[in-house]
Amino acid sequence: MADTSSAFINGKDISSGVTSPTGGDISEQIRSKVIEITSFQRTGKEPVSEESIEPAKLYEYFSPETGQFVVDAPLGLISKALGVSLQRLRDAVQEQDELEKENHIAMCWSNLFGLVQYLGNWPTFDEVLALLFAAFESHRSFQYDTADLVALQRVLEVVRRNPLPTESELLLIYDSLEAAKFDLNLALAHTDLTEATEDK
Amino acid sequence: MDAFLETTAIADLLFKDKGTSGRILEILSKYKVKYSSQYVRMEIKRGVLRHFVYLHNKAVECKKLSEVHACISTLSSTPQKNKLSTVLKAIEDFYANFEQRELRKLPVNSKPTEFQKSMLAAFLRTRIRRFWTAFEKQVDIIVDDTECYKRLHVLKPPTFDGKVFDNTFSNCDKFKPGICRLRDFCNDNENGLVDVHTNLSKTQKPDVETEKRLRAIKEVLRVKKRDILQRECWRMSDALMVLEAPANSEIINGNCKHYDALCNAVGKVSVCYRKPAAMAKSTA
Repeated sequence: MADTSSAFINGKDISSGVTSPTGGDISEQIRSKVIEITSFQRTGKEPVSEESIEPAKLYEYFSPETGQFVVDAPLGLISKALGVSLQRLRDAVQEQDELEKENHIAMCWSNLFGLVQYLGNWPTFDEVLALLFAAFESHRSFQYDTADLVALQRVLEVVRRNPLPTESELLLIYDSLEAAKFDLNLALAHTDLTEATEDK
Repeated sequence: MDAFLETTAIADLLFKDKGTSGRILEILSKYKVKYSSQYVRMEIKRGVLRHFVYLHNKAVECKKLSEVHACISTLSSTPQKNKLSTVLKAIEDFYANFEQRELRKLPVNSKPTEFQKSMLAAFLRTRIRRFWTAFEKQVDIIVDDTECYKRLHVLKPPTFDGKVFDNTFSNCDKFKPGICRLRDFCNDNENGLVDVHTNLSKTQKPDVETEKRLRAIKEVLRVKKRDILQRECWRMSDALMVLEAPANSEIINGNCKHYDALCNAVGKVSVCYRKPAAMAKSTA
């Protein structure tokens, strides 16, 4: 049976009559958020937590229309999509069946390709996509081994937590992919970068 | 035995595909200590990095990739034009293939209009940003016998202002005298320079680069008290790197045509990881 118990903010019952379509404990989730907020108001200190908040959670809000917590801010959506891809990679690592594993990987990439709709908004995010797509392209005709998948997982974890990575995070992403033998500079394979110029 | 990586070797190691960089790494694995020099860093800053920064900034400023092509075509130097066009085309084609194969499956409204332009800028941004620290990680020791851009005007990495890169590279002549100790270095290595000059003079049908190198060395040897100007310095660059490399090191290079002769002259070993152009054509 669905939970209909109440939670209050400034004396107003914000969850009365709201039931989760899935029967989930919505009021409990709201209450825990209220406790965090009031604790912050009372003490002036942020609630101590060992885990940092992911963007998808940070941008989440309660929608009375759907009766669920939703996210529609681009950074939250990016983080959420990366979470879905990440799960596919985890499934791929666990999978014994080769074709099933490939299916998880294909779905992971397909989901990542959808992120191009956010291209052109943040330089560092564009860099992540350029690196990931170069990694994909260079691995097109190879089987992914566990080391490749783990490296990709590490990268997606970094970006999921921060879709706009810092310079050092970008270098970490580059190094992780390169160490896993993704050929990130395949694009420049047939170019001569230091051929004689007229000033030599 | 130790290894010294010249400019092309470092550039290929950092910016080229696994086939090329893997060949260099395989060669390097046989050596104990790996060297390069500040002079090499200067050459990359004024060469590859300058091209990358130009293309990056154009990709950011222009609305379409066709405008970037148009900008390149207006440059006056043909070698520079060719180099920039080749790099631009390579990255453009790489992501064009990707777009055709993968993004066509996406709904129309989720496709960016200038996918390749964004990818070009992003691709170059990562490489430009990464170069300075990555260079230091490739080798154990960076020698600086010529003290290149060490005084008065220091060589700086390109700086990113959130949109474009600033890769200012001043002509060191305007800071002379006293910006480097190239004159002292050449005087200290006079015998080496004479040997290089003698050996290169024997070359039958020398190419333009060798001819310019010979003229520059001759001039440097002739007037020993004058500061060496940037033009002469750059024309002698390969010879300077061979002389700068520590005595027990072999020169890892991507141009055996030039380095074999230079190394022979001073009793060093040239190790080339690329096939000579003529051989490469015949095996292709």
